[in-house]
Amino acid sequence: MQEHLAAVSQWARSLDQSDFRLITLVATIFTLVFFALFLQGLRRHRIIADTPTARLRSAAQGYAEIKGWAEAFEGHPLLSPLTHSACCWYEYRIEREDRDGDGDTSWTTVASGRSGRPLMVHDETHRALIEPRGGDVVTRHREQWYDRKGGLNIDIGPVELGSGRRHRYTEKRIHDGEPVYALGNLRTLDEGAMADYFTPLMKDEPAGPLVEAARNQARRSEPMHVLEKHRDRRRPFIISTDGEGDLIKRYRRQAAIFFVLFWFPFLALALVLLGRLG
Amino acid sequence: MDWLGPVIFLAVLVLVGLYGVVIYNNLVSLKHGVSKAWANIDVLLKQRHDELPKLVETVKRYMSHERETLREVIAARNEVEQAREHEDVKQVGRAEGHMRESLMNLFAVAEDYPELKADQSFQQLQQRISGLENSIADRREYYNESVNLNNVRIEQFPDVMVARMFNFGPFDLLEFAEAEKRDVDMGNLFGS
Repeated sequence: MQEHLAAVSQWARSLDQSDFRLITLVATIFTLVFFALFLQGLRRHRIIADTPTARLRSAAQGYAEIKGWAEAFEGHPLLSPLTHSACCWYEYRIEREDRDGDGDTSWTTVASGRSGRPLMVHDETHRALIEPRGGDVVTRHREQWYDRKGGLNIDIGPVELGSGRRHRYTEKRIHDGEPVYALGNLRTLDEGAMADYFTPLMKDEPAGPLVEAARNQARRSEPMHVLEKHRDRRRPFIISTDGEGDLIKRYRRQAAIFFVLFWFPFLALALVLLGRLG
Repeated sequence: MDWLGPVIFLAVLVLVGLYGVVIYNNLVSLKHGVSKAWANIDVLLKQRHDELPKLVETVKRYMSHERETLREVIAARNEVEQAREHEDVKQVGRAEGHMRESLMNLFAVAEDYPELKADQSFQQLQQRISGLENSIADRREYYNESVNLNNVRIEQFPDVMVARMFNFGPFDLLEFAEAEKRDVDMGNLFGS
């Protein structure tokens, strides 16, 4: 062991200045990134486990956790752009495979997007809208496939895919009736606030279900809850069709994996720095 | 290369320290979560406190011979208010039980007054108080879940060490007496 460490020390001393800087920089970046991801997993796991579930009927204002079922917006489901599946929410990405002179491949995103409509959920007591902008969305329905033709019947407007290149298509969806777990900032809109909320959304969809939703909501004259990203960026905004238990496991696993990974660049950094200086 | 051991030891020490900070921050969040959950109940108790005199005034016009029943409602209202002001959760639970019992009595007695049942403002107040009672019941559940999360966390290892070091304590659950836990179903009381 001692011999190996001495060899590493010798090697660190023999590095020229530019290699030394590069290795130090790369190891520092990886150390910090892995450590940040470890802390993120740890924090999220604790926040999810430590936040009680609010019922929508009497939902407390502020950072809250809700559980319910997704429903098509005022009975109007969306059609996802890549697979044309009926859903309540979607996100898609199309990437093109590029090769450099050495034959190394990389993926460049040529088109991506999310459904602009809020997601409607209900529990046993009431309904709420989830405004997914800025949220981490975890879905059970996630499809990914590859295609060389670039000639699919895709409903996303004019996109130059370029024939002959390999493309990767990814689509995530939330379907009607799926259980939804969400953690974010909950606020209740009165009638005036509701108009302010729906007006900018209606610009994208002037005669669609959003108008109908706004009218129906006004007719019901009951408050509308909206769950959205919290102003405090440290508080995660999570929307998931996986249950609370699965999410806790997921973030605990993230913390464990990055805790282990953290040690590799950290020790490499320590070896190079102290070998050089020692 | 004698320095590698101390470096690893130092790194582990820093990580343990940081983990301690994460635990401390989580305990602070839990404590504030309980306060927030209580504030959410408190606001509804205040709203109901303001609505009850209107109800009593409306009822008084039709039930002038039921002074004792009305007095019980007012007494229970004051009892809840006092407990609420002192933030005495156990006492709020007991007083809330009396409040619900006295309201049920009031509405049971009101059955004998058809003119009162037909009164518009009485119907509105009945609906409003019923809604508030449901919301209080929901938020009581939420508050108790917050308390449970806090109380369990401060007894779990390694959180217990940080909790003891910084005096993080348990909170009382908000419990209503078993017979008094039922929602006040005014619709049924009036057979509507």
